[in-house]
Amino acid sequence: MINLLSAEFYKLRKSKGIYIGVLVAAALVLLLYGSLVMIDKINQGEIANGTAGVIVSPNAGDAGASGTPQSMLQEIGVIGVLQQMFGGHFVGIIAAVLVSIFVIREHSAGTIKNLVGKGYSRFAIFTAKMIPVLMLMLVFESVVALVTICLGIPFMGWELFAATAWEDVVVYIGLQLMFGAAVAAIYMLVGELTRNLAAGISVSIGALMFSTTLTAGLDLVFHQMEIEPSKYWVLDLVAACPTVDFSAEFLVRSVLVSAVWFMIAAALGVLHFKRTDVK
Amino acid sequence: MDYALNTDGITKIYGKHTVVDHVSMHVKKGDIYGFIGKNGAGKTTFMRIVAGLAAPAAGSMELFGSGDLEMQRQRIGTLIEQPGLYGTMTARDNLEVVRRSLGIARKQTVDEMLEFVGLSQTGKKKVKNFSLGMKQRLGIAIALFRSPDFLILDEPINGLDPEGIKEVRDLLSKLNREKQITILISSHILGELSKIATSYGIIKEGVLIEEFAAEDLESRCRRCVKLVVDDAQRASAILEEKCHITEFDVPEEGVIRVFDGLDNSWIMNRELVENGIHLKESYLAGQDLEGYFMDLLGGASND
Repeated sequence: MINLLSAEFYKLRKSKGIYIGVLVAAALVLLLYGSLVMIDKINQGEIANGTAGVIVSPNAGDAGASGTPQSMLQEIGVIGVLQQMFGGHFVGIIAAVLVSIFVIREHSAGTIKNLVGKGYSRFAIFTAKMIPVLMLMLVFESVVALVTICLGIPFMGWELFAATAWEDVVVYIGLQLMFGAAVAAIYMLVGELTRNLAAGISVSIGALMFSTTLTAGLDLVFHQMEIEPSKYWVLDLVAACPTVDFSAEFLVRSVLVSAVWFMIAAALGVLHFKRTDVK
Repeated sequence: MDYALNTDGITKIYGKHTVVDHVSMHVKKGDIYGFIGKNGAGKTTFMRIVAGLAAPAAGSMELFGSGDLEMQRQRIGTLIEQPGLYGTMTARDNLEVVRRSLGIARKQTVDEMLEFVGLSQTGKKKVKNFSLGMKQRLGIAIALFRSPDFLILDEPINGLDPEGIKEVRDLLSKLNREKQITILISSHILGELSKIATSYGIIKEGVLIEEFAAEDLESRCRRCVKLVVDDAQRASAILEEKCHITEFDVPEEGVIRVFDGLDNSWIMNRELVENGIHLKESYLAGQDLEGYFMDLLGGASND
């Protein structure tokens, strides 16, 4: 198992795609900050509405005490940018691509044969792949969070940055990392089931973007029974995670839902890998 | 008898199609076992089952006399279908992954293996830019890691140039001779296979139709005089009495194959005619190895 892990981490280290993915995510953070700055400039009348395709609706910034629209950056702060990155699918989509590439290329390149044919148990092989996938997800999300925080200084100014409620930021990032582990296991399951790069990425991104619509529909269906399936679907929690006032109920539910979905995805993945032939 | 591989009734079914049909194969330790069959005959599927890549629908197998396959597979090196390689990595990185996954402490093993398969000069060239032959060599290097006792090679000389084919052939012979590595090898290049194989198994439509030693193959392909006559029984008696020939057989009605006295075939012909036998045809026949396999496999091209 240690040998397998050593090989997996070596592969992870050698994957240029991973580094590119992280850079793209960092660039997205930069773009998001840039967009917020542009919105502020448009609101303040410094540049014309519609410049570079950025259109601000008249009520985009609430009027402050002085009567001038409040700065969007001031309004949402660092944690708002984090929420955009994690809850707005930016991180999820890139993570889906990275995890799919890392998992599925073993099948598409046939390298999985080199391990299975050497007598390693399928369970050990799958687990050895899952651990670096989790690490990848956690490191990736941490880097995004770190870049978001660091870029907050030049974009918001030190005063606003220092006024951030850091306890909330830490809890929010912690929750997102926990959700991320469960989501990574789901992406890995999708990769194992499809074993095809295009299909794996498509299904993962599809699940990310449309499963919450499905659970919203289910909420409506089960409305009379007062059951809300969306409360128990990890991707809904990613999007619906609050940035302040974390209730104990939400925290406990988050831990349980993440753990259950992680275990379901991991168990199904192992089961499928054990029972199907390797091409 | 010590077997590296001993299977009993291995069967694989995809949907309604039986791809491998009750194959009972016996690969003796130290053998180079040539596994021959047309495309789609079930060779690769059978090898994948032995390597643990596919599960059989029925049957059992032993590796090195043990049913603990997971443990025994650690003694196997495989190259089945395309070599499993990371295209965006170098040859060295690919072998480094294998070294780590097998827990081999000596880092120099990677360089030695690259040298061994003639890829030490590839430097930073990505595997995706390798020729088919280079990829095949790298695949062989991966199969040879951790000095396996049993090599399973599916078409290992595919894509190699004549020089490369000879190198692989010499390498396999050397491994077999010096390290007593047992080899199960399939190849379409039967001429090459016949140069190294010590035993053969022939699979047709999923069924292992024959297993035999290389020496048997030579006798099966012996040169002979083929006589086509109207009465094989009487002609046989004449050959024995008048020509004192004892080595012959009657493979089918009206056909006699004579294996001795080939230089004096004219005497046979004369005696048969003089004794009233209607001799329709008389010719020197003999098969090369490829011809023999073609006959067994049904005459079609073995592509």
